Amino acid sequence: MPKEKLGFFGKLLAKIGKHFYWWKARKMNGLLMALDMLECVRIIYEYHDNDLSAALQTFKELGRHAGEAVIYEFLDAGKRIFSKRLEDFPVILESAWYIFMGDHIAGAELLPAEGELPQRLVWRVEKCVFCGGLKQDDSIIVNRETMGYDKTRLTWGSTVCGVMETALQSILDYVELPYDIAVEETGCIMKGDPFSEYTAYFWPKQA
Amino acid sequence: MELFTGGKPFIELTRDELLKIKNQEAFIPIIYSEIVVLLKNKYGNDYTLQRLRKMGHMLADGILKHWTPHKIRSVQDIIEETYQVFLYRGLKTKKVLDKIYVRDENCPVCYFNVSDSDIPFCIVISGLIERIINNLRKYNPKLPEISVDNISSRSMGKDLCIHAISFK
Repeated sequence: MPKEKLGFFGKLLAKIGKHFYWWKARKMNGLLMALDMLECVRIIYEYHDNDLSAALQTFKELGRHAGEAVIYEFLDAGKRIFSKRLEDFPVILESAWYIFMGDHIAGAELLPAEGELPQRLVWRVEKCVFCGGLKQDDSIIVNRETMGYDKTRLTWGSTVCGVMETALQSILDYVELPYDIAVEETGCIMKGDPFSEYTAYFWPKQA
Repeated sequence: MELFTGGKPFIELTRDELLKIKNQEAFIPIIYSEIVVLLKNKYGNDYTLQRLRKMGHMLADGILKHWTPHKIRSVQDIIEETYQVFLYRGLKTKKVLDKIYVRDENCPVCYFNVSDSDIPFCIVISGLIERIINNLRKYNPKLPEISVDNISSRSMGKDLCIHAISFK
């Protein structure tokens, strides 16, 4: 049964456990990771006749499929730190991100609903490895226009959004919280922002 | 991550800085396996194999813009150093008659949930090794020109991945 609330020991477990899983994980150099990401996008870019926006949409969809594998491989152990309280999601997210990426995120924060926006979880990535050096690589032109951001809200990290959507939705379903989740990369270095920022929107499920 | 921003909260990384950063390996094989399926369903096996090998070539080109091995003496030395620098582990290479075999029990792309594919996922690694060695011949003309075939792949249900290197 999922916990109602994450207590002191749950939070401690999350902080210690993430280091153990990171230590155990197989590692890859950041350069190989960034180049791999670029070549994966390039394949889908060609698949869509050099339409980057369409490629990123497909890439996000692939991320959603991949999210199931992430849940299966990494988050099963996380059951011990899942709770029914949205306020605990920043702790869960920080641990999951660290286990999966080996990277710290800066101050994940749950923001209250305001206007038409629902409650949402916002986090910033200190050092985004996916777009490292991409501005100096002209083999694919990546910017706000070519990504079609203003129409599609797609960014270079769209696949990460897909992965996170599936992973967070699985956690919400597991703890029986009635929300549908949508994740966007609201800050992206490739669209001109100074850092990478993700936002997960918790939309109440329609009855 | 093992790179510090020197007090700045966020930095835009260069590719040279990426060389100093460790990441969890799993993200790439999970996405890669989805891409293989996409390619296979649209273009069939022959094109998929050819395109994945080309992906390996392009990865090698990207890597060599920012890194060269310390020892460019022999094919085996280069492969072992490349694995050590990019995947933080050693692996076994063995010369038998006129070929070198690279045996990888922890292939970075043959994700362990996929074992029934008719595509050797690690053909991208064959392409990568092939291009790295052939491109490094400009630094050491004594290095042989090579071609690399994948002869065993975990994605096809084998216990380990093996790349066979032939000299042209």
